[in-house]
Amino acid sequence: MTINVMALVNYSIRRTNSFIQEIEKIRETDFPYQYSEEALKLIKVLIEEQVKYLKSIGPNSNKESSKQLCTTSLDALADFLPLLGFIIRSTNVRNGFEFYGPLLRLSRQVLGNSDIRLVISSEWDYSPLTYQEIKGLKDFIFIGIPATESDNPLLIPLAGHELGHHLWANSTLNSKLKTSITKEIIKLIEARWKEFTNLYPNVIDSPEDLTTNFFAYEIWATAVEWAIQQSTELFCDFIGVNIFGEAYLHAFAYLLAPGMSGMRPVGYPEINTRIKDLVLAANEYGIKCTDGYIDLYNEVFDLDDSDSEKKFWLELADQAVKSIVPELIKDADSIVKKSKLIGFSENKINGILARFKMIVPAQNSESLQNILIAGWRAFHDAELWKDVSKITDRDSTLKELILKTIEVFEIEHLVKP
Amino acid sequence: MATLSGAVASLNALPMFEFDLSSLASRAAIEIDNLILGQSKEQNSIKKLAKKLKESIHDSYSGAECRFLTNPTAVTIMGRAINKGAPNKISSVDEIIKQAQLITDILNKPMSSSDRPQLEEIRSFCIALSISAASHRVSAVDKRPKHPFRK
Repeated sequence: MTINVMALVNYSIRRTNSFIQEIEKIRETDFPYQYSEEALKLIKVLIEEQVKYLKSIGPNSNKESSKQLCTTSLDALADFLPLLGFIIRSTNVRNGFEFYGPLLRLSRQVLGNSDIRLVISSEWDYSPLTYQEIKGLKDFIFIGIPATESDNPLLIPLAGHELGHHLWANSTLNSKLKTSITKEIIKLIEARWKEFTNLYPNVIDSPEDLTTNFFAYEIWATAVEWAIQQSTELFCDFIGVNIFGEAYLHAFAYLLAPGMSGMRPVGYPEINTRIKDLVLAANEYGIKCTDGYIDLYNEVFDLDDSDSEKKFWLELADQAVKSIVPELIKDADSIVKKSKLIGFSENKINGILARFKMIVPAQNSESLQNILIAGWRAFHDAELWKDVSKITDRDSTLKELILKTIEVFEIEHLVKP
Repeated sequence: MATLSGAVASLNALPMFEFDLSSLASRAAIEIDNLILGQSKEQNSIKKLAKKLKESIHDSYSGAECRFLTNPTAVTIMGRAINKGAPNKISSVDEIIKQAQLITDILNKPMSSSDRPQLEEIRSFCIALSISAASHRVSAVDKRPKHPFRK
């Protein structure tokens, strides 16, 4: 038997059709809100387009073009399959549906887009995540919260970080900062020229060629990308803390302190640096940071010496990011200010906290942020309900109280004239 | 967040450029192939690709102070595609951008099956571009630390 490219095309069509059939099956599910189903419809359209192109291939088609189309159609299936799982899990009852409405409104206001469609899901991945910039799903925001915490309202502030990714993608920050970062990387290479030429002998003769020689360009472009990725993560943290104040700091520490072990991902700042920058931003925004907060996290680990190339570029990326942190802090602040989002106020927070102490949901909370900050203050109050013998599970009572307050907040919004 | 913000969006390192560039370039290659074979005149992906390349070249040229520094990734992806299979590799960034501009102009014009050698050349570029953009994609699996139990 001989197998040829047409067999490969046939496989591609069949597996893509299986994917489409699976979407149809998922669409029979009951969805708690319309956007999950809407996302499925759009994904189906995108995948069907793949089939159209695959079917245009015939026995006389160019072999390389055909194989490459099969490759990209396979990539599409691999990219979209986790998203189908995400959409299925968005229907799971372990999700905190109480905060869906307030978080949707907050997202729309921060992003300045009333067409934003939010899909929240409980994920089997420990880190909160977002899917974004998906072709054909432009206004969708997918936020995944770890399944073990997906009904925990105290972790809602982490969604602020994920919204930051969408703000970044919709702003001109990427191109603006790319220029500053690139210039900084070039400057840093020049300062460590001997190390560069030791790592890459015979590529270029002088620092002047760094920006004109393509092969040199290819080498340092990686450091620019790492620095951009790290800057994005910091910017998202700054957005999170700007929107949710101290509640973001606590939610972050609750989920991630003291930091995971293992190799540091290159697209993220080292955890201790990240936290110091987060605290710096909080201070700039006038947000009180609890004493000892930084000590909750691990110290900086030395970079792995065995990979001298990676170490060199990561050091350069880290330094380049450091140079733009003040700019990122200001940018995050001005973006949130521009959205005219109702923030948090001590007066309201204290009022909500007083109600929590009476084990009663609060009214007129004014913003989701007020509720969550009050929630975290209650969480840290060692005296809370100490003398109330009927409360056997303090955490679960507090969680219910916060969720009920969010429900009241939502109802107040719905009945508002 | 700490390890996986943006899984599909791990492509967010380079928003809007390489996200669907790989797929678009491979579809454009198929459309060119169909033109060569006289099977179809559809040029939808070819035009979309031309638009995308034009935008990224403009991005690379924008900014009087350092015209090549605004989008190193776009230049890298295009440069690799242009150099793939070329007998003499282009080492000048300026030349890479000029070549990319030239290809974009060809993609922008209506294509006909009469100029077969040029169509074949552009088809090869589209395949190389698709491969170059795909190899640049940071997949979710690559970006997050591998699970210790997962093999």
